[in-house]
Amino acid sequence: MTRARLLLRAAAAALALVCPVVGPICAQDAPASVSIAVTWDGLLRESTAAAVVTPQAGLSVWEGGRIYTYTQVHVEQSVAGDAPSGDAWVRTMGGVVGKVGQLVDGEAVLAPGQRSLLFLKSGPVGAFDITARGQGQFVVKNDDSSTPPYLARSRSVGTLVPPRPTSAGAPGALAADVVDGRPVGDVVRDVASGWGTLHAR
Amino acid sequence: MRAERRRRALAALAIFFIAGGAFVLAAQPAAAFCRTMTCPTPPDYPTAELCYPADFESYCASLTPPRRVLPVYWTNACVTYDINQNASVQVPYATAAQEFAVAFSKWTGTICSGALADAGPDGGDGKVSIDIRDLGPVSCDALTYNTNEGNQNVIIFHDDVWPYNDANNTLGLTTITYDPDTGELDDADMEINSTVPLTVSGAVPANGYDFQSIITHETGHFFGMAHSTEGTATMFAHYTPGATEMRLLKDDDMAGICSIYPPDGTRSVSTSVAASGSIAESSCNPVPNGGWQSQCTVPKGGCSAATGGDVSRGELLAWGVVVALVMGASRARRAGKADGRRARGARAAAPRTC
Repeated sequence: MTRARLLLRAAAAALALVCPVVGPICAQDAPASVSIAVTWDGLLRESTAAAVVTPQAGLSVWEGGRIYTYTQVHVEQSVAGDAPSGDAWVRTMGGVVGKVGQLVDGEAVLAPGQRSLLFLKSGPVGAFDITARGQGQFVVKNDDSSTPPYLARSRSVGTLVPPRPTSAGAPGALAADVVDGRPVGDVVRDVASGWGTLHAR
Repeated sequence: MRAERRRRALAALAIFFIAGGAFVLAAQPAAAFCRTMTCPTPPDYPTAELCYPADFESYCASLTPPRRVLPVYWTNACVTYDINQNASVQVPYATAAQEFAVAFSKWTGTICSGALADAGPDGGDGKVSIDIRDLGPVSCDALTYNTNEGNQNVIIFHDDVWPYNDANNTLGLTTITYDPDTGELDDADMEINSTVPLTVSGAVPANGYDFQSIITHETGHFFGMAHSTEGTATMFAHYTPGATEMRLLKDDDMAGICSIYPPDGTRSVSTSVAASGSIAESSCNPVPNGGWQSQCTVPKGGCSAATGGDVSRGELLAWGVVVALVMGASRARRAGKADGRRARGARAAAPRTC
């Protein structure tokens, strides 16, 4: 066996030993909420707007004892409701202000440049909140230029539990099941058609 | 000579690999439990497979504001909580106090196994080195954190109105406040949406939401646990109505809490915080940061809460204008005059923060 191979084997062995030592970074991740999975009808009904947006930059501020982050998003496509054209502000809970950070599990995560379909509600003046928090965000994925971009359910939703049956029967299709994996264009059409029905009342 | 250079290069590569690459490679699911980090995972990252993505650090650095990737932890040997004195119509104060005491004690009573078990300074009972104290009922009924005044790790029930925009969805919500440079937890508050029917006692109906299961899961988050990739764990991210299995910690949950708060009285932290990967706990001090108080501090300064590090509305507006100008200019450059005209015409005003 060459010395080089011996060194590489030693490195691999050392890595195996290092992992337990750096335990805190061997197994980690995101935080804390328990939410009822939102239905497709519920998501549309509770939203005042839907749009495909690209987050740009954000600013975290203290507001009412909490940290909120305001993210400026560019509206790529206004899908339904009173979605603005151009740019808009979207508010999410959590963020970092100076030497204080806050995390709120289940919130949508708006990373600069990562396009999403957002279901929105009017928030503070001049800004929107995301309906059902992380459940109102669907990331636009474009794995392959030969296939149209599609939507993926957000994983930043905390712990989900199925909704209870209503007095009318089954609670209806879950929003994530309706949207996940489908082309953006198809979902946009579904939003438009469902929107008219649910908001006409 | 050449062989010597090659040997040195390989050695350097190996060291680099160990020091720099350990973070990424160690993410393989040797342990299914995950720890809460100071940065949220990307929204499209399937955390049911691994705790975090390989490019997590660069992803977090790209966020605005940028985040470091640090696991969170309590340094204090004993942490406190307080339940709002009114608790809930569904869960009266006495019941809430009892239920939360049970939930918290499942975590703080964990006996660690394996190498960690005998490391206790008292001869090794193997118990995790974090304890919990209930400081009793408080009048505070809102989530606040103050850097300049007293605090409490408060547990609040919302019977009438859920104060966020997801009243029909969220059952329980834990907000943690931490030091972004170390990951040390400063505060953790829990809100329960009691506008939704919860099963507090007796058999849990098939479509019922078991209160004890929910709060056992939430108290795991309180200690810095994130969702596990192990499907049977209390910290797994899915709950089946009617089920009570989440009431009981599984081996994976216990391995997780033991890894953060091992019996030897240390805290496992990022190697960027302490080169050894651990720091000593601080002795038990049940007073929260800034002192304890029963009432929520009334935010000063009108609509924008005067807690630490406030950004005023004026600053936000000014910042918004700067961002708008920069973004508008770069977009106009990228997209040409037509897009530039559209962007300028539809520029969003910076939001007011109250």
